[in-house]
Amino acid sequence: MLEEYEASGDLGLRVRGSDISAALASAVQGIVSALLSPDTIRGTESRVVEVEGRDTEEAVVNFLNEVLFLIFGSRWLPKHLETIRLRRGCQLSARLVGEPIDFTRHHIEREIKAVTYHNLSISEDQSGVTIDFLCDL
Amino acid sequence: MSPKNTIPLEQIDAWRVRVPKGAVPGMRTDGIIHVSSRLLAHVREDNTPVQVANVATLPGIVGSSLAMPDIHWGYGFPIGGVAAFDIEEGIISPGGVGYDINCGVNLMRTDLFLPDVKPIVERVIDTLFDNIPAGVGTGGPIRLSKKEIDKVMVQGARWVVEHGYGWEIDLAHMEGSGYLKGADPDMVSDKARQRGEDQLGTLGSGNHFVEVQVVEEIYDEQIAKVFGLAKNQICVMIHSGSRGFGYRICEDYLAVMQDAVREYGISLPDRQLACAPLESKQGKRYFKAMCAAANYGWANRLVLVHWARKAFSDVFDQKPEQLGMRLIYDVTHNIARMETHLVNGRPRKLCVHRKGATRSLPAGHSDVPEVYRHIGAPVLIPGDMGRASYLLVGAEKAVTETFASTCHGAGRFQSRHAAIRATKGRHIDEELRAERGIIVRARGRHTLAEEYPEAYKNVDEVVETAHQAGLSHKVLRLRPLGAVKG
Repeated sequence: MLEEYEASGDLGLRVRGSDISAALASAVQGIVSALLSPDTIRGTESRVVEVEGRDTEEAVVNFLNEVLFLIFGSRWLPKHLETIRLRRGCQLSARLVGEPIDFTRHHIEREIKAVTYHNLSISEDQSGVTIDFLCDL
Repeated sequence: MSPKNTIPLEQIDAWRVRVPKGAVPGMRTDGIIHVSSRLLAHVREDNTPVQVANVATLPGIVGSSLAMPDIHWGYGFPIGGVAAFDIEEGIISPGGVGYDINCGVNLMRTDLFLPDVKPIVERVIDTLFDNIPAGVGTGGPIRLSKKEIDKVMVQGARWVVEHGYGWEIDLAHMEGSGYLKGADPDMVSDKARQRGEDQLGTLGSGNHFVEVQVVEEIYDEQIAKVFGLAKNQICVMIHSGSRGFGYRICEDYLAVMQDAVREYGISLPDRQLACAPLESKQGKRYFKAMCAAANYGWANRLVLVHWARKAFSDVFDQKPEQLGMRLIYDVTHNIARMETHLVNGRPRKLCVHRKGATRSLPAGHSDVPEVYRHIGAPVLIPGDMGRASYLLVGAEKAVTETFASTCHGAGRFQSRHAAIRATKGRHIDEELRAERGIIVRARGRHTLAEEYPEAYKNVDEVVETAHQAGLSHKVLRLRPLGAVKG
């Protein structure tokens, strides 16, 4: 589940999945969808992202910011999250499938400066994990 | 959107309300918001007073936690927030500067008048659109080697002049000559460098813009004359910052500060307020990296000036010098600076954080560039793309009340979501052309909807508040003829 919520001049995303891996897969989809049509991205190669934080919140923020770095720093677009593993509650290791940006096919709508800690929320109940996060545009 | 404000606000006078100490636990001082009664209604509609109160909990804060008339909801610190910290006992916070370090504005005059531009304004805007790279997902035409990016970090706008993208005289017309002392490239990560290597001279997206404006109304003829401006004269205003380079530095140091908060036992109401003592290794490292990003920001805006000069030169078939395209001023509105202020009659060295606030220096102040020392430093306030922007100068009262600060823009009124809902089915570019004669071009499909004029507060109201409250002095009002958005 992925939905956008009111967030002043910026982008607020609420994602939900059966576990944190599924929720983060939706988070990657949410970020990509805010930038361009995901249908234009081909899954021709993969990239590994490994981050850690002092807690799960920090690991999630660091992971999503590394996804932004892949896009805006390395000019590489993720199509989807293939695997992701959270260890010790603060280490994330993920494999993303996608391709390098091709400006003949990929029209990037906007920049996202960063995923922030502000009003960040990770909650778990019987039906799964929900993450609320804000992107500074 | 943030929840509605629930904390008490006490009216001090016509232009100020107090957020009393104790409104949230741990406040070390009051908050003071500079607003008119009309703008106060907007402030009450969201949670920004709580953000003003949260800033007041930070260690070493001096005076009050302040907010300017364009205050609106931000991350941790409110946008339009000003906070000063003692250099020995206080902190420095990347969140108090923002992701876009040295986001700012410049204003360039021309010798052209309305009749010269009005008939061909569409061609002018199209040429600007073609000449100014947005740099969104791609780079601009300037590629910086590792050695050169280090020089940009240290030299700021000077690098641009030395490489033929700016004029020597431009430097005398920029805050601090387009440079902040203290940058250390060794404090900048490889990832930040990678973001910055091909983004110099790019506009960005969101609310960043290049606007062609006309002087519509003059409030102080004498000062306008010093700027070489008269009614109906054409100007160019540019709003941009330090691009991905600055965003990454902010992000890198927010992570560093999460550790520092634990190490120094700082209690925070919001993780985005993460900070470190100014005297700590983390605080010193962030300041040096922030200065590097600030210098990149000034360099970036001056290269954008170069592209704008080139576009006008192409359209009018004259050199920019012949068109009188001289920079009036360039200001930052996202920065932390070491400044000396009188506190209780004693000079104190403070680290002043301005996040969405402009420095307001009156005539005679030693930090005002020599060319403007007799009138005060220019203050540039962009509004929205459909109404107006303003040129003001610094005022004396700001020195005693706001650590020499004033507003930075109109301030957002509607969320992006609300703006898109409000403009559904409408064509903003066609409306602006038909109803106001304004030509706009944007690269993003939704940019014009998200940035439509009514998404912002009325800049007239914000500027009038800053003027009446004595935070800055109105000189003239500029009306947009056309805009390029990222």
